[in-house]
Amino acid sequence: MSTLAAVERWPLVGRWDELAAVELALAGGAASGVVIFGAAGVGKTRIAEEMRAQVERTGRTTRRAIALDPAASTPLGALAHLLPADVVRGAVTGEDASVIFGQAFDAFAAQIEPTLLLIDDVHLLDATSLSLVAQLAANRLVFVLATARTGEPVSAGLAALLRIDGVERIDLRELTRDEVETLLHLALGGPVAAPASAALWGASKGNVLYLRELVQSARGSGALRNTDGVWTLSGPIEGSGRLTDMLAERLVQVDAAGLPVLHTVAVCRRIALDHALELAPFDVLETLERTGLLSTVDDDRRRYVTLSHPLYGELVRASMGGLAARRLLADEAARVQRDGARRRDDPLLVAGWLVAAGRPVDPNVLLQAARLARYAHDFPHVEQLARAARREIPDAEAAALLGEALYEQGSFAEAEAALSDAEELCRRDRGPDDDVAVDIATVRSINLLWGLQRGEDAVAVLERARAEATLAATSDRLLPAEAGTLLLSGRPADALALLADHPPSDDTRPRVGRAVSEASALTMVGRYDEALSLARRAFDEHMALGDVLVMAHPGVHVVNQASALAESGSLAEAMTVAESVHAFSVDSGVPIAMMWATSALGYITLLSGRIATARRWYSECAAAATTTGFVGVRRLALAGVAMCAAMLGDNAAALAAADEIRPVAGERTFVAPELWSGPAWAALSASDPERARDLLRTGADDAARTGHRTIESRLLHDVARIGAPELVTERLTALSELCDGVLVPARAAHADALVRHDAAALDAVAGEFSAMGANLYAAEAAVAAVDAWRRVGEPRRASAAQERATALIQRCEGARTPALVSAESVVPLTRREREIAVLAAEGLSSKQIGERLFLSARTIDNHLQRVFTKLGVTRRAELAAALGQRGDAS
Amino acid sequence: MTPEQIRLVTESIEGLRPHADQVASRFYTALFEIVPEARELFPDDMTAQRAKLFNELDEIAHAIPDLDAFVARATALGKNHIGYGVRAEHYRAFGHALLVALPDCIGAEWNDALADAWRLAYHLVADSMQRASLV
Repeated sequence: MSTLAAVERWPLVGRWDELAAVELALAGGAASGVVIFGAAGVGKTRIAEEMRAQVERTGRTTRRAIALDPAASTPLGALAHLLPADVVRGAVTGEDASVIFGQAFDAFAAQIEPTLLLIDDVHLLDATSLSLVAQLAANRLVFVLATARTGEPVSAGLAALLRIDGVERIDLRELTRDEVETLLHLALGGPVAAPASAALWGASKGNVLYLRELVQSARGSGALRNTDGVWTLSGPIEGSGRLTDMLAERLVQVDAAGLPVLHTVAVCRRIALDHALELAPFDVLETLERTGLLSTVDDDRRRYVTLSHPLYGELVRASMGGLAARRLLADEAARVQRDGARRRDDPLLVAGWLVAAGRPVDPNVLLQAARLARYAHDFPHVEQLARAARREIPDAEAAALLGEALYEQGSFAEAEAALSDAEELCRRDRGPDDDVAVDIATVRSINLLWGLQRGEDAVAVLERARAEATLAATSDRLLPAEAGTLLLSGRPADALALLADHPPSDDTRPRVGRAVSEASALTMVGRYDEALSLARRAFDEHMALGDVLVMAHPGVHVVNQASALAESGSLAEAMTVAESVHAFSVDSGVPIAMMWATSALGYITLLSGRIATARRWYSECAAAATTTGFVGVRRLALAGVAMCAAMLGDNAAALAAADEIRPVAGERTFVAPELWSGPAWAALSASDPERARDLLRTGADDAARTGHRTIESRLLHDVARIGAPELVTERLTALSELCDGVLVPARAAHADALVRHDAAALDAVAGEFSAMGANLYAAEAAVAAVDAWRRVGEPRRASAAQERATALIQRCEGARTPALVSAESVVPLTRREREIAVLAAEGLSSKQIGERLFLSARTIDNHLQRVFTKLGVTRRAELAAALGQRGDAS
Repeated sequence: MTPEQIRLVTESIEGLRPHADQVASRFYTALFEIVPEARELFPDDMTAQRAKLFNELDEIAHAIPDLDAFVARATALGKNHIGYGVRAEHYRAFGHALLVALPDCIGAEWNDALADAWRLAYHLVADSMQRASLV
C-alpha cells in the first residue's frame, strides 16, 4: 500500500488580480492573448486552466496544446490535433507550407469567436507551431492563453508572439506569507498551528507545487497531523529547499508497476488513455493520478494521460538512458500504427517519435516535415529531418534542405558538402530547370560567398546553373542572384555588364529582385541618376507586390535611393530619405533594414560634416551588423567609426576600430576598397600621414581595378585633404567625367585648386561644397583659401574666407582634420611648414620628423625656425596652442 | 489561522458589538477615502448598510471555526458581490479600510497579534468570496 496521502485539488488562493487581468483581456476583444510567465511550480497552468473552464462555460470553443519534445516531434505536431484533417494531410503529403498555413487560417477564421487556445510551456513549442500560433493571434483568429517558465531562454518565435499588439505578459510571483497561510487553512480544512505554518512557509517560500509536496510528504510520514482540530507539526520539515530534489524523492517511491507508463508518458509527453492502460493496470494508474504524478486531460472528445508537472518529465527523462527512451518512443509509435494511426495528428506524431528513435520513417513525410520547419526558420529541426530523409533516399531536395539548414547554423564546410551532393542528385534526377535546381544554386552560392568567403566559386556555381538552364524563365530567376554575388564579391562593373546582356524580365518579381543589386552597382560606378530612378521604381513595384518580405526587405530600395542621392551631392534629400527608412526599420523591428539604414545615415552625416553624429550612427550600424552576422557591413561601419574618431581627435578609438577591420590588398568582398579609409584615418591620428596616404591609395587602386568609381573618388579626395593633392588631381578629374552629380566634380576641383594654391578656385569650391551641405569639405576648402589669399597679399579677402571657414567649422561638431588645423592662426604657413609644425607640436623630434618626411633634420630645423617666426613663438611646447590645437591632441 | 488567532478575532468582535455603528462608519469613511468611486456601489443613506456590515462581520467571524459552514457562507456572499460589480482591487481596499477602522475603535488594546489575526481572517474571507466567481 502506498504511504502517500490522497491529493485533492487545492483551492485557488491569491491570484485574483491575475485572473482579472486575463478576464479583461478576453472580454475586451482587442487583446489576442496572454502569456503567463513564472517559475516552475508557481501555479501558471492552474490559472490558465481556471480561465479555460470559465470561458468554456460561456459556450466558447477552447482547445489545448502541449509542447512536444523538439527532438522527438515534427513541425506542427503539437498543433496537428487542432487543425482540420485536410491541413494535416497537407502537412504530411507535401503541400506547400504557405498553403498549409493559409488553410489553418481559414479553419480558425470560420469560428464565430476566436477560439481560446491554451498552450502549456509555450517556450518549448516548436518554431513552426509557434509561428502559426503567432500569426493566428496577430489576426485575432485565436486567443492564446499560454504559460512560459521564467529563466528559460526566450526563443525568437516566443519573442515575436510577445511583440504582437494585443498579446499581454503576466508575471506570476510566488504566494505571499499571508496567502500561504490562507491556502494551508483552506486546503487542510482547519486551523494550522503557528510553528507548522511558519515552517511550511519558510521551506516553500510561496512556491505552490513545493508547498503541496511538503504537505503531502509530511502528512504521509505522519509529521503533520490533525490533533483536536488543529494541524500541528511534530518534527522538522523534510526537504533540501530545492523543488527538484523534492520531486525526485517522490519519483523514487513509485512502485515498479508504474514505471513503464511513467517513462512512456515522459518521453511522448502525452499518450492515449487506452495505451496507458496497456502499460499499467487500472489501479496503478489510479494511484499515480491520486498521488499527483499523472493527470488525465481531455481534448476534443479524447482522453490523454500526461505528467502532472513538466518538472516530473524532466526528472524522469534525465534518469533514463538514451536507448531506453528510443525504445519507448518506437513502442508507442508501433501502438499508434497498430491502431491504424487514424487520428489526424497521428502521422506527424509517429514520424517525430520514429526519427528520434532512429527508426526508418516514410521519407516523404520527413521531407514535408522539413519543408514546414524551413517555413518557420526552425533550422535545427530542418537539419534533423532532412538528414533523416537523405539517409533514406537519394533525393536532391532533402540534400538541399540539409545544406541550407547547415548554412543557417554556421556549418559552412558541411553545408557545401551537402549542397554539392544536392547539385549532383538534381542534375541526375531533375534537370536544370527544376525549382530545386534554382534553389540549390542560390543557396550554394550564398554559402560560398558569405560562409566560406569564396566569391569566385560562388559566381561560378551560378554561371554554371545559368549555362545549363534550357528555359528563359530559369535564367531570369538565376540572374539576380548572379548579379548580386558579383556585386557582393566586389565586382560592380561585372555585375552591370551581366545585367546589360539580359533585359529585365516582364515578370515583376525577378525584376524587383534584380533591381536590389543593379541600383547598388550603379551607385558604385557613379551612375547615380540611373540608380535613383531604378531604386524608386523598384520600391513602388515591390510595395505593389503585397507580400513585402518576399525577398529582400523593401527598405533596401530606399537605402539605395539614399546612397545615390548622397553620392550625387543631394545631401538634404538623401538625409530625408534615409531618415524615413530608419524610422520604418525601427517600427518594423527588422534588424537587416536597421543595419542598412544606420549605415546610410552614418555616411550622409559624415559627408555633411556632422562628425560626432556620424560616429554614433556608424557605431549603431556596427552593433546591428553584429546581430545580423554581416561581417562585411560591420567592418564597413567600423571604418566609419575609425574615420570619425580620428577626425574628432579620439585616437585610441580610431586605432581600436581600425584594428578590427584589417583589409587585405586585392580583397574581393562587398565594398572592400572603402574599408581602407578606416586604417588610413587611424594612421593619420597616430601622426603618420605618409602611411595614411599609402593606405588610401591602396584602397583607391583596388577600387579602380573593380570599377568602384564612387569609392575611388572619395579615397583620392581624402589623399588631397590630408596634404598630397598633387598625387590625385589627374585621376579625380578623369573620374569627374565618368560620374553623375556635383559631388565628384567638386572633389576634383578641390584637389586641383589645392595644387595650384588658387585662392579664387578654393573660394568657389568651398561655396559648392557648402551649397550641397558638405560642410567639412567646405570648411577645409575655405581654410585653404585663407592661406592662398594671404599668400597673394589679399588680407581682406583672406579675412572673408576666414569668416566663412569659422562659420562652417562650427557646424562640424568638433572635427579637427589636418586641413582645419591652421584655421585659427593668422599667419600663413606653407603646406610643408604646417605639416612639420603639426608633427613637432605632437612632440616628435626633428630627427623623427625628418625620417618620416624623407628630409634631413637640418632642413626640418630650418622650416621650424620660419614657423616659429611666423607664429611668434620661441619653443616647440608653444606650437600646439599657436596652431589652434587643443593641448590633448597627441 | 492559528486557533489563537481565531479566538482573538471572535473575542474582539464581541467587544466591538456595543460600538457597531462606529466601527461601520469608520470603515466606510476609510473605504471611500481609498477608493472614492466605490461610493457609487452604495446607497445614499448608509444607515441600513452600516448595520448590515457589522452583522455580516459578526456572523462570518463566528463561522471561522466550522470551516465548511464558513466556506458556504463566504461563497454565497461572494456570489452577491459579483452582481454588485465588486472586483479584486475592491477586495484589497476593503481589507485596508477594515484594518484602519478596527484599531481606531479598539483603541489602546490594539496590538500586533490582533492585527495579524484580523488580517489573516480577512484574507480567508476575501479569498473564499472571490473563489465564488470560479464555480
